[in-house]
Amino acid sequence: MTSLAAGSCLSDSHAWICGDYLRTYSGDIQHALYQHISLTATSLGIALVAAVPLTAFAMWKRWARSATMTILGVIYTIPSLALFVILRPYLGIDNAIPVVIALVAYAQLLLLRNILVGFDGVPEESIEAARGLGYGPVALILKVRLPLALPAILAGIRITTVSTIALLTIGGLINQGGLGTLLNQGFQRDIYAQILVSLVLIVLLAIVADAVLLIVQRLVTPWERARA
Amino acid sequence: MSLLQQGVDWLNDLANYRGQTGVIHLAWSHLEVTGAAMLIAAVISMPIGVALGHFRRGGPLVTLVANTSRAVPTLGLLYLLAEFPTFGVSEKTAIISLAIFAIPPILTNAWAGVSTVDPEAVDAARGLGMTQWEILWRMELPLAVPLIFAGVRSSTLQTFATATIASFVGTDTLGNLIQLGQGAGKAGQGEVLGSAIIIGLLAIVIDIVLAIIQRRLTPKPLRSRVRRFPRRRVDMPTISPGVG
Repeated sequence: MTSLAAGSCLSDSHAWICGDYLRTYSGDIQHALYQHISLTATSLGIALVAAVPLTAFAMWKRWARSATMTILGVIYTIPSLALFVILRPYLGIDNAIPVVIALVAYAQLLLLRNILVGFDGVPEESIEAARGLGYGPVALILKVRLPLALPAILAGIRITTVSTIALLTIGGLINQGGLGTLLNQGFQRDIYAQILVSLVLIVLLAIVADAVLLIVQRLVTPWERARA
Repeated sequence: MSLLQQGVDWLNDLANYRGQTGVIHLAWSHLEVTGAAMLIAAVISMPIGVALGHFRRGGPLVTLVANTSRAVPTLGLLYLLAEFPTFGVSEKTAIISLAIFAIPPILTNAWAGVSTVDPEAVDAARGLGMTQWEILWRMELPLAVPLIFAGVRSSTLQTFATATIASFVGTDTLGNLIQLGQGAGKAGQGEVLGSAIIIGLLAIVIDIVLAIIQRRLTPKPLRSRVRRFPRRRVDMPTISPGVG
C-alpha cells in the first residue's frame, strides 16, 4: 500500500476527482484500458471474419436472408449479462472467451444489417454496365459491388465498434470487462474517483474509436466526399 | 453432475419460484421497473420526436442523441447515479437510469416516422384544406405508427436487458438471482444458469408479443413489401439500440 499524504483525496473515497488516485493507480488504469481495447479489437476482428460467410449465405436466397436475420435478432434480444453467464460454463469460468463470443454474436446483427443495406443499395444499372464491360462474377463483387456498398459497410462497422466498447463494460460484472471491471470494483469498494475515471475512459474510447473509423471511412471512400 | 443438469434441476425446483427471492416476485418486479422506465421515457420523448418530425427540424440533434447514448455504458450511469445522495442505491435510481437510456430509440423513431412521410402527400393534404393539426393527426401519425412502435419495441427490450443489471444497484429484478448464484460460488452455478435462461426466454417472449402488436398496428396496405406511400429517403443512422 502506498502511504497516504495527509489531506490526500485518496483518504476520502467519496472524492469524485482525485489526482492522487490517478497517479497511484495509473498501472491498474492502464491495464484495464489496454484490456478493454484488446478485448474489443479481438471481438471485432472475429466478428468481421464471421460476417463474410454469413453475408454470403444471407445473400444466397431470400429465405436464407430472413432466417439469418431472425436468428441474429433472437440472439440480440438476450440480455448480455444472461448470455455471458450462459456461455461461461461451456467456454470458461475464469477467462474472457464467453464475453468475446457473446460480443461477436451481438455484432453480427449490426454488421449484417448494414452490409445487406449496402449491397441492396448498389444500383442495378451499375451492375449491368459492369457486366457489359465484361466483368466476371468475382470481379463484379470485388470491383463494383463492394466499393459501392463500402460506405454502408463502414458505417456499420463504426456503430458496431461503439456498441461493442459500451457493451464490454457489462463483462465487468463477471470480472471480464476491461474498464468495466475497474468500474465494478470502484462501485464495490465505494471509490468515487475510480467510477468516474472508468466511465470517462469508456466514453472517450468509444468517441476516439468512432473518430478514427470516420477518418478511415473518408480515406477509403474519397468519392463519397466529392459527391457531397 | 453436469452444469446444464444443475441448471435444469434449479428450474425444476418449485421452491425457487416462491417468496421474496423467488422467480415470480422478481420477474414481476423486473417487469414493473421496465414498464415504469418505459412510461417515463415515452411521455418525455414521444411528443418531442413527433413535434420535431412534424416541423422537419432537429435532425442533427436527434442523430447526436442517438449516437451519444450508444457510447455511454448503461452500467456506468447506474453506478454514477447510485453514488449521488439524491438517488442512492434504490429503485428510483434504476428507473431513472433506465428511462434515460430508453429515450433515444423512441425519440429517433418518432422523429424518423413523422419526418419521412412523403412531402408530396403532405402537400396534397394541405391542398385539400387540412390544418397543421389535421395533417399531423390524420396523416402523418397514422403513417408513422409502425416506425414509432418499432422504436418502442427495441427500447423496451433494451430496458428489460438493462433492468437485469439494475439489480446491482439495489433493485429487485431477475438479475438478483444471477447475483445470488454468483455469490454462492460453485453451489450457485445451477441458479446462475437457470435464471439466465429464464431472463433470455422472457426477453424473447416479450419481443415476440411486441412484434405481433407492431404488425397489428401497421395499416394493412403498408404490411406488404411494396410501400404505397413512399417515404422520402433521408440520411438516417441505422436505428440499432444497444443490447444493454
